[in-house]
Amino acid sequence: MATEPLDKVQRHAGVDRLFHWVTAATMVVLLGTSLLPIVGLRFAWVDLHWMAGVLLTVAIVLHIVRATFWQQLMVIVPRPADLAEFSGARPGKYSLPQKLMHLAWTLAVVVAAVTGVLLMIKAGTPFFVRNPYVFTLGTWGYLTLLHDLGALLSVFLIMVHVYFGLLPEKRSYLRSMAKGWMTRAELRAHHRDGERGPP
Amino acid sequence: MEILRYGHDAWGQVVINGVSWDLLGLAVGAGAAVIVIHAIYRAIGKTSGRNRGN
Repeated sequence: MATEPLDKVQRHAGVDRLFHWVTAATMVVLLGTSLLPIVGLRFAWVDLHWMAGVLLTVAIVLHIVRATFWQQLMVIVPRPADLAEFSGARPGKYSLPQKLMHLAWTLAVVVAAVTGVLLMIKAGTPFFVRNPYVFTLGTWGYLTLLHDLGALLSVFLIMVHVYFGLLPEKRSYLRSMAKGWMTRAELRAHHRDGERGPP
Repeated sequence: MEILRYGHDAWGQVVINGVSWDLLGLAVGAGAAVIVIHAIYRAIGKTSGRNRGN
């Protein structure tokens, strides 16, 4: 982890911050284009929806490749040892709640992305010739069901994620996701030194 | 409250179309519940912390 002047410690590299905010923007577009028509706001949403979905899918694939080969993948994976945080132990780079939030996001976004790519075959986009007969009507229904569940879980997670991100005591995390750094004092207040992984 | 949306195939058989959008309110409600419960827990923690300091 690189240390900058003024006791700043880099927590998130620029490319990771870019991934986070691209994900956030595309999620807002995806949920807006899919859910606003349901609550009565009618507009041509399909093209905007699949374009945002393709951008999100590409971002996820790049994130998985980077996390697997250029970062320490295990720093974000919950482990039994993380339960020591309940007795006051300070976590490494990510706390147990942060790891669980990432796990829930992984589930919601990967399910929505995989089913979304398949549903693009039914909808017809420049990437796929429209063919609603690839799957039976029942299978399309189950794919839509999983896609919908991913969306509903995302609605819940966005609310919780934004709430915790805006809490005054969590503001240093929000700043680190915007500017990349925390002060060493902020880091030591919530995390133990070492085992923070690469930024 | 409906859990699923249903339709019919060409033979009139019932097929699943997706999740009922009644569940959208449930997702928003669950998110709001977590926020409210945590906000109350946080406020109580701050109050008891101040009382211990007095």
